[in-house]
Amino acid sequence: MAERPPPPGAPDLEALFGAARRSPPAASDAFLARLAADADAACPAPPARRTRRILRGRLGVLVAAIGGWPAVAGLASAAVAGLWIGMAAPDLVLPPSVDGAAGAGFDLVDLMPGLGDLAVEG
Amino acid sequence: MTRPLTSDQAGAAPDAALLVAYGNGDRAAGRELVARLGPRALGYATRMLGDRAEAEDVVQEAMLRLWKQAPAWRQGEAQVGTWLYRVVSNLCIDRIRARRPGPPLDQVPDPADATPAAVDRLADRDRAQALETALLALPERQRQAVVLRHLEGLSNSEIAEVMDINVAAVESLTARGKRALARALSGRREELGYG
Repeated sequence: MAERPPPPGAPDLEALFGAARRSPPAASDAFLARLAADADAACPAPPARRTRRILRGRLGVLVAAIGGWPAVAGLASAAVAGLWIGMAAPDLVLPPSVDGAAGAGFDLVDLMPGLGDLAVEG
Repeated sequence: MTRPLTSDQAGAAPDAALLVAYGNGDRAAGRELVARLGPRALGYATRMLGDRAEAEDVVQEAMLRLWKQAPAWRQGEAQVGTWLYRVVSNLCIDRIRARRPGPPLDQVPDPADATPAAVDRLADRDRAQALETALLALPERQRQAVVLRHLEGLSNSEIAEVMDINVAAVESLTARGKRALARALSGRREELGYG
């Protein structure tokens, strides 16, 4: 956009702008302190620092060798599960007649109930 | 995990990096931003409003909005300074529109103590005061464009972003504002020490 000539008697605007730039409204120390206090009050908390627990002593060496506490927990879970399977397995795989029933045994009809009928009919 | 910036790092960091650091809990970064942006924002608000106390309220509100924005700030999306000018502008215009209409241009008061002897010694401050008084009589959008371009030193594209208009509209507002200023100050060339 073409600049029009200034009206007669008008001061040089560029010179006035320069004077205004050289003497801007100054911010007082009290005002800047108020802004800084607002900034401090509104500042979010820093993210929590992650702390790594240091294992000490022989137990610490052992735990560290295994892979830390998560690995120890996994090992303990596996040990308990193995113990439980070992103690509970007979009930799962053997018929009730085995436990406590003196002289009990297996006949072929126990395993194949239709065999008796087949034998009678020939 | 980000570490707080040292004072040297904070002094050299871009505004956006400081704001991100502040959003991560770095208070020193916030204080550096206050030192950088506070005086500029206050100067702009004072020239827009012509009232120091109101300008301080506006800048305080704008900075609070900046702090709230900090945790979600993404570097590269906007310049912090431009964002702040925009918020300050909107707050100033809200206040200007809530006021009664200002005086017409021909009723703008003269600078204090305009006797010939004092006029000869007019310093920058007095000339600036005369200009700012004339600026206050401009329509708010012209005033905003002239202040941002010629006193705050923003480029036309930055002003367009602040004012949410295109560059051609910025040029038009600036030109009309300057013509109105020249008319308001016509006949005062010698009085302002440019005779």
